Amino acid sequence: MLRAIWLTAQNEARLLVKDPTVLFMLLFAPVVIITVAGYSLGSLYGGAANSFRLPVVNLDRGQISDGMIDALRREPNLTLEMLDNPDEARRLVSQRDRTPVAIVIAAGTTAAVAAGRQPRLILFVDPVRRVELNALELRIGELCRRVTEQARSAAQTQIESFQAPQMLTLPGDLGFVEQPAVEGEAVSVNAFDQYVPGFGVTFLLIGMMLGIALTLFDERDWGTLKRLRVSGAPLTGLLLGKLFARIVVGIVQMALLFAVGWALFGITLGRHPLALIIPTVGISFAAAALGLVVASISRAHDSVMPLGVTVSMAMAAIGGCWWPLDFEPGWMRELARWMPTTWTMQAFNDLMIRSQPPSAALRPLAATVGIGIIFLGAGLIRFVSLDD
Amino acid sequence: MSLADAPILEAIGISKSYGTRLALDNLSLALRPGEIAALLGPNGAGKTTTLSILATLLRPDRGRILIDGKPPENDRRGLGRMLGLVPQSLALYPTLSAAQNVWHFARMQGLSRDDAKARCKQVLEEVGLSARAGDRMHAFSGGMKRLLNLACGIVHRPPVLLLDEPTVGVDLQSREQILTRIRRYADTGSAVIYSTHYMEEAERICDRVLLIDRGKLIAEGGLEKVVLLGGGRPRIELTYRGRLPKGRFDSLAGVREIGATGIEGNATLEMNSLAQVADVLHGLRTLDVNVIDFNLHSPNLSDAFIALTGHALRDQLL
Repeated sequence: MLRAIWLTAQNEARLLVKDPTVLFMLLFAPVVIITVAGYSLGSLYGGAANSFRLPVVNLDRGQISDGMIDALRREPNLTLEMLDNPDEARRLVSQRDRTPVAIVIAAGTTAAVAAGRQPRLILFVDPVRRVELNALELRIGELCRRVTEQARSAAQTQIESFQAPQMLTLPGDLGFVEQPAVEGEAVSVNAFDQYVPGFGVTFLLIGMMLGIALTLFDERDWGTLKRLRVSGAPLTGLLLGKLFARIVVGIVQMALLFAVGWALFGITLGRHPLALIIPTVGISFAAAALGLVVASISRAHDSVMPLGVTVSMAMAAIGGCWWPLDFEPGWMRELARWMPTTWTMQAFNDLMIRSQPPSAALRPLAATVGIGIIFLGAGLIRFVSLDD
Repeated sequence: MSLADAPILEAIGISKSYGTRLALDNLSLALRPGEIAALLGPNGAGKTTTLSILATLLRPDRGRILIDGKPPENDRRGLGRMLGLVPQSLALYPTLSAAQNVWHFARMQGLSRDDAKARCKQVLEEVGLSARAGDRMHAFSGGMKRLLNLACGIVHRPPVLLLDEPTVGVDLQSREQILTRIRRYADTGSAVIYSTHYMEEAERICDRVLLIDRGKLIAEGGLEKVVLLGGGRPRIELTYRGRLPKGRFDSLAGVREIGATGIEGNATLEMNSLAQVADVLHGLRTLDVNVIDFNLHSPNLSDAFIALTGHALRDQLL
């Protein structure tokens, strides 16, 4: 019995060592995911926080607004960008990365505070970046309280020095009110608005990579690929045919997920639900093409699973499928530009949460398809060279 | 040479190496419509490489192949449809039914929907699988899978059929069926290359033998010619009572004792021809040797194969 166990274990080790891809991926996969997650979520657990741009429009130009701006300037993770036009501030929030909120200090704010009223700063917000927004709003609220306390303290001193309290009014409180930066109807975001497309894309990637790669290995192992090649059918045609079928499956998969998300979790599908097909087609194509790459570099069936899952999960994580991109450090955000997942999530967020028109998804589509074409070219070249 | 005798498939001086190992060395062969050529050789002789090149799956390092007189590069799709491949390992989709398998390959070979439908029905009848057309392939017996494998290779009626050990691992009944279908298929005018290790199959259905070894064609021709090339002669194996004196067959030209077992009562004699059997038996009777039993053995392809390729295990040389 012990002999059988020992000999079997030895042979298993031999088999494992003979397939370095599996060995490498078994060890490498967790390292990749831990690295991505660690860097992305590091700021949540006390690491260095990411910095944000903060557009500010000061229409007040009074003591309160100046005090507020000074306080904001002293915040270590904020870079203020002073603007004259509220529309410009709104546009920056809706379009620019790292700008989850803009502040408009309305004319007469200082006078209103001095008069004991409770004026409100206008915060143009990007509803997609709810997590970052909450942190920033907490800080802005704290600064508002500090500025008004200073004003109140100064007024109190003044009252005491005049010895005539009945003649003066204590300053009021400064607060803020949110306004969505995007045009159109105001949207209320729930967690599923982020998670349905995010995890939908993740599983699309995994399914596509494993599906494409394994079916190609099956065709090889079954010998059917050889028989089809004899018919004179071009290998490229056979591969593209397989990819096309999988892309259709991917589109159906995402459509089903959105339908379930809408019916069960009340996710918003934006003003043009049919436009969701645009990023869906893009990511299905890119994922299928990447599946071809995985198939072409995997040495055997067993290599497909660790390689495909590692690539899928890393790409999903870096591309913002699991958490907002703003969580990630700068170098990872740069890397994310080369991920189809990044552009796809941007398009989904624009269409669903920011209620943008379908045209907003065209640039991300072009980027996703462009990356997909690179994958496709690499996969085809590698596969055809293997066939030769 | 008449038009009908023109080769439909030719390999002209093809060579192929894998790294430093020369798998094919300047090999030439030709195949004419209606003939079945047995492609024989020990393991590693180059049979699979030859078939792969003829099937256009591999490019030779040197030399070229012609399909219907034309190089396949000129019309990969059109000339590819003239070929049918039945590989040694099954080339089928296990989760699809027999009909779906045949249909897919028929369509991929360029048959129209109507033609594919008609041919699927016909070919499944030909191989005796009509009743199981809707069943998934993985539920089939080994013999049925082999028949389906054959059906998928001939569904588009290719003028050239390449068979790589199509009867491996099947029972005698299935083998009979497969051999019969192949012979019938060739009789319709198609050329067949039949790679096999079973010499009796080659003897039974093949018109011509191509014997290759170490990448070279070492014997080619009709069955009798190749057997003769092997140098084999008829033998008679005797079981007898009595004592055979030395030099007892000296008076019979060409008769000699071979493979002496040393066992009293058994002997094997080699002759120039089977016509000498009567003389041998008569001679034994005159010597008062009582023959209890005898077996006649005509030289066959197996003898020639061993004579021409040797006894050494080729796998050890690879």
